Amino acid sequence: MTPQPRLSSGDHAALHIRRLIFDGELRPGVRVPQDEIAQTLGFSRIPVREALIALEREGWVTIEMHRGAFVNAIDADTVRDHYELLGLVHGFAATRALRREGPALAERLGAIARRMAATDDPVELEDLSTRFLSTSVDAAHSPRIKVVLRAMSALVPGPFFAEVPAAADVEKRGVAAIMRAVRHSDATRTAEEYLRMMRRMGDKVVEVFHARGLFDAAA
Amino acid sequence: MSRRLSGERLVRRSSGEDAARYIQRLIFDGELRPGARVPQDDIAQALGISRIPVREALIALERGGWVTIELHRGAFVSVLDEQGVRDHYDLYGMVYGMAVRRAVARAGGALEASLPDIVASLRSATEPGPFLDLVNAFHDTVLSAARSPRIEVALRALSGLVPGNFFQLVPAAMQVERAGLTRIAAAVARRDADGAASGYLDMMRRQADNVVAVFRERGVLPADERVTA
Repeated sequence: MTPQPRLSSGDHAALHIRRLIFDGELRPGVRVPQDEIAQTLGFSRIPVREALIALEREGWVTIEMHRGAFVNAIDADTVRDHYELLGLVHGFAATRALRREGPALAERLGAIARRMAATDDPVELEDLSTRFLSTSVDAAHSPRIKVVLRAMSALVPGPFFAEVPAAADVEKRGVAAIMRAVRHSDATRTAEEYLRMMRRMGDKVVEVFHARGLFDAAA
Repeated sequence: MSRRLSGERLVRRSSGEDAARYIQRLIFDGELRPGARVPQDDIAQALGISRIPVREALIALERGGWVTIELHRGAFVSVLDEQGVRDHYDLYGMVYGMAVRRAVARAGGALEASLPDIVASLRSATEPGPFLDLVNAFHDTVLSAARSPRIEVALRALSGLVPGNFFQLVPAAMQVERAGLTRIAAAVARRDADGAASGYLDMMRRQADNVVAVFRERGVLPADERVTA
């Protein structure tokens, strides 16, 4: 693995550990092997330690003094809560953005939405989806929204629509519904559509986690 | 929880957390103005700690939107505006609203049993210290009934805008909180999740009005600024 240019070593180590958890290589309750991870990535232990502090804040691991970091169990409620929060916060961002920009926002989002509808490539869809979401978040001009979203690191590390193929359809339909509300400058409905899309997304991710056996130890 | 509305609770803190609170305090007291460079050496010296925990504090504060770290240049105090304060409390209201919905769905009766006592004690509490403890107990009860680590993550990210005892620094907030929590508890007693959630949102929006007023008074926000809600 080569660190990507914009990730710090700590970010990189965190992503690596989340990947190990998602792949079922680090099961709930297991102690995170810090030395091994440092060695695999060619880092010192310091960025691994930083990564664990960040992961604890995000709820992935629990650090016990003098004992190490242990992987937390994840359950279907946790996954659903994650997407519920994303739906609420993105919906809020969109209402703020609509108020600031109105029709100009509809136009910019519409251009992205059209490209989303047209693509079958999971990587392109993810890229466009990120852009769709960040357009409203940026237009909202709200540092607090960014703070919360930054804390809600993705549950699925790596290419989302490749890992959760059923999510592509949810995304496209959801974005189409959001666009209908945005074009009517209907802030309340826009927020509701974000929430609805994210809830459906959560259901699809629950299915994938279930199929991967990631809930087993949490039962 | 004290991690939410403020933090005058007795918890063991690392020197990084101490440094973070100290810096927040300097910002809130107007000693570090928006745009100012954070004097890391002075702070380390004032607290009798090394620069490493000060550095940790700044990383945490950057995540919280309080400062911006510029490579090789240092950390600079972010500019806070009224909309930022209002967004903060709107987000609080939404996330707590979600927590109380989950709590009603997941707690199976335990919640209805414990909130009325807290609300009754709130009616007679007049000192900011005990008042804050009761408020924290109320929010803690809701959060633990919600059983949601993700909600806790989101709330931790939204660390308080007001350092120290919220009710000490924002006196008008006690009345708002007392009325708000009474309404939320009543909705929970009816198992009215929507009513409880909108109770949280309304209460937090009113608190935002109070905080904006205090920030204006202290010069943390410019006095003439107006944002349409």
